[in-house]
Amino acid sequence: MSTLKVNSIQHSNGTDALTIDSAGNTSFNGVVTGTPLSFRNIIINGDMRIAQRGTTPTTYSLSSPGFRYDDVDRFCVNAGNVATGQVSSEQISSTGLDGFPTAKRITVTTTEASPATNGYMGFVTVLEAQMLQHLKWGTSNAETLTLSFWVRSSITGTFGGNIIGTDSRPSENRTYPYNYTISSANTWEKKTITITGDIAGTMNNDTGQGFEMDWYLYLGSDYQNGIENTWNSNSLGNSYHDNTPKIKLLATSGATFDITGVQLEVGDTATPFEHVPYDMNLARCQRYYYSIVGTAQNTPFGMAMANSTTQIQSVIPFPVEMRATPSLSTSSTASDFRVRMGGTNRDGTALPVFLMGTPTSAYITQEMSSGTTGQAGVYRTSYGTETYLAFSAEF
Amino acid sequence: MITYKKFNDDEGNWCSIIKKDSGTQVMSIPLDPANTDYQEYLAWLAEGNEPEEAE
Repeated sequence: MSTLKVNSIQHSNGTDALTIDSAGNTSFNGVVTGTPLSFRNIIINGDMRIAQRGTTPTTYSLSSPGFRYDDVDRFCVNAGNVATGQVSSEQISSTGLDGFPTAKRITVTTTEASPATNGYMGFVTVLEAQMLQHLKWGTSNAETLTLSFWVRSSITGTFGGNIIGTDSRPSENRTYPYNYTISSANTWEKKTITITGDIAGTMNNDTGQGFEMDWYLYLGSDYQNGIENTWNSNSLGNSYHDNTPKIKLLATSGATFDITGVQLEVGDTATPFEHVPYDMNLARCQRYYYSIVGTAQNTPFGMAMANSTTQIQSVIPFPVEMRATPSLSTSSTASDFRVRMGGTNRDGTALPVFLMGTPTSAYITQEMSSGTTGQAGVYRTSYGTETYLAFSAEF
Repeated sequence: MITYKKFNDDEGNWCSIIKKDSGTQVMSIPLDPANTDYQEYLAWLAEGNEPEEAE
């Protein structure tokens, strides 16, 4: 251990690069390059704070391949070809980990001893290609990345994850598999993985998928022909992971897996997690999913106009530009939607439908009980039951 | 079973698709190639399925 006592550090030409005053305040001259001080975390909602769809557990059967979004934004359960095993997924809000009040939890609710050769279960976050251009992937200058995250599981042992360069499809499914070990049951541990930049892949500058990041909790042998800690072309789709034996979470009833503090950043060093203000975090999530939820009577959705005696139309602006023109899903009872027009309530007789739209607003229509054409009014909930309009531009 | 039904605007132009599960509306989908649900609809069509026509 030694101490360097200086007031400045200079370039060889005599120019001050760094000065330190008597109080220890440090000033840098010019631009500090390397890891950026802000927006260095490429992951959105890495602290699992935002859960627009809800926080209560949702239980899934896992037989149909696909993404399952029902709790924490940007992180979903990814599973398929699992015959009997089931899990629940939820946001937990009492983690016991300082600085991280929330985490995503997966719990095994129905066991399955061993996966089919093509079975898989885990969770995933997908990143938008145009957000990743600074990584220079597909060039000889591709940036090295460092992934760090906090994890806690009731099961100890070796777990696997990977990055899938989805923009290289369909000729390749470029993958970078890695393994990590959870040493102590039910104890938070921080994991750090360095990922070399992919010099051979493709990264289009568009709103499509750039890459997805998977954390596997159950994986069949069909996908374990890759090589760990390197990029695999995965042209046959069988190299998503290497053949290191891994934990099969579904084999243990009630097993849990918690994760939070996910950070992916340029460079070979994991810096402290970048805590983003709640409102900024929410806005970034709303690029992919936005919902208006009314849990009280007369919660407004917006203004409406009676296009006919039995149909209203409304325009719903989005708080941020969405990735694509979104799909509309709603709560399931038509009469939970209401317009107040000319001093009269008119309740829905069919569910709202997407009429037109853009990534910045939706133009929707709904059949309503009979009224006067041309009137304007407030589009709102009719009762105190949970009623929602949800717009999804997820991958 | 998943099925789809075309939806027309009030001028009779096809403007969106209603996705149904066992006959119940679950989603309303714009005709945007960047929309994942629309991409799933196109894949469903490619399998030889036909949507219900708009009313």
